[in-house]
Amino acid sequence: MIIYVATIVVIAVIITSLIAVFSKKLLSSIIAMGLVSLGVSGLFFFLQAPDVAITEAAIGAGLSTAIFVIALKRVKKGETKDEE
Amino acid sequence: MMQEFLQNWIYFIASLSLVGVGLYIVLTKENIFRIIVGLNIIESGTNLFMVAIAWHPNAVMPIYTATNHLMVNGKVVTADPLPQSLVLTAIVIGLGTTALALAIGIKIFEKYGTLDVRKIKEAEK
Amino acid sequence: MRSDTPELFKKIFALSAVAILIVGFFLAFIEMPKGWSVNVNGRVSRLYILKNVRTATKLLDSGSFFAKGMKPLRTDVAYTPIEFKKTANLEDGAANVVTSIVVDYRGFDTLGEVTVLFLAVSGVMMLLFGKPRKEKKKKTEPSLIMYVGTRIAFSIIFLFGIYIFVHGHLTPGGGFPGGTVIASGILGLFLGKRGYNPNHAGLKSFEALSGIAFVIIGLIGLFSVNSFLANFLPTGIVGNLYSAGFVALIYIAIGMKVGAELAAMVDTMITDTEEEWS
Repeated sequence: MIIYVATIVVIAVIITSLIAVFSKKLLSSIIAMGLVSLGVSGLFFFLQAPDVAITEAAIGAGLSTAIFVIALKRVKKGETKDEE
Repeated sequence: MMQEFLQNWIYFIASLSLVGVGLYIVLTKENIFRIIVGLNIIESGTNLFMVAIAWHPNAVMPIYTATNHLMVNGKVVTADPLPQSLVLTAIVIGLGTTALALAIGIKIFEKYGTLDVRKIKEAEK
Repeated sequence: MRSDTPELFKKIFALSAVAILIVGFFLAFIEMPKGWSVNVNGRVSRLYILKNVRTATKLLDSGSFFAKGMKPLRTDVAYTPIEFKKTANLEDGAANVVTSIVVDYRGFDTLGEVTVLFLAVSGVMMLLFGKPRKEKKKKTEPSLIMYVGTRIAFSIIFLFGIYIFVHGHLTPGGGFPGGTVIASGILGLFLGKRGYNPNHAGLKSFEALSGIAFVIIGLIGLFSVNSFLANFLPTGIVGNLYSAGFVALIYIAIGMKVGAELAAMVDTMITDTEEEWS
């Protein structure tokens, strides 16, 4: 039965990654990337890999997103100028 | 039938989609930070693929507990621990390389005043 | 490619690249043999699990403290069932097989990986080094609740990180997520107070000492058991806290190193610097 839950998570991950592609603001793209990491860490748990899941949740969804936002703060003018 | 199809394919479909989406971002976007976002998504997809080939539908976690026996009657019943350990280190390396790429991006912005790769190329001329 | 390349052409190119990727992927999978996901025993790398759960043979010199690793190479030993909290003297003895692979069987890999992380963080520091930039306009301070709350939360998060990497051989986790959790707590301290300034040199020296401890543990294995990063401590009963030999020691070293390193990296990235050279 857990495979159906995993399927729902997979669909959510794919939709979130599409948001990362098509969002206009860079910040929302970065947040979508963090959500993709969070969903992938849930998939790691369904794949019986709790070590990898806890690492991905701490690094991919937590610290990586924070570092992106910090770097974005340092180039604040670049964000508004370069939007497509 | 449906369940068997999902068990065989759904994780590979997910990893392939993530790699495809990340490749699309890397090929079409012009902002350097967006390209790094795409690389991170590709990395997530690759890690998912490597863990998914270690899994089988009746697997248990590769951790001993009082109720979790890794071998039953001489046969292994866990997920494969080797790709999991490789992915565990690959995630940490991914954070380091992402931070290095972001630092290079910040330096590029301080020099050229923009993050657009086309404008940087024009400024180079 | 010139700068006036049409948007549409670029998108079509990218989409076709993705389509080629998808088609190649499925063509590769059609070639797989039937029932590949059901044939469990053939796909799992059994050697590691077998080694981890295999009972150790008679030691060459069981009286010596360092004789644990001096085992003959066993090609095939019959499987004996393992009982949790009862079976003793396994080859590695860690209840978590992933940990025993990361630290013990592939410990040299992990040393190289820690080196890669060190080089990446050194690159970040080299690129963003400089003196802090003077802020022109006055910015608002975080509120008192934020300041006190992050301090209280930091102590709990720090304890949780230490728990994760001390229990790395029993439960999911280990040095890498534990260190990252500690670094996240320090990031919270940065958010709680503007201009929070940890001791950067102290962090770096702490990280260097942890790395040296890793190498020294490996060298002890080299001189006592004749191979680098060999497990030289008795492995104990599977499932106990004092088991699995040197796995817990190495994970403590890795956890402190990764935590200090990532905290120093966050410190470097969060302070807005200006260039000292050009």
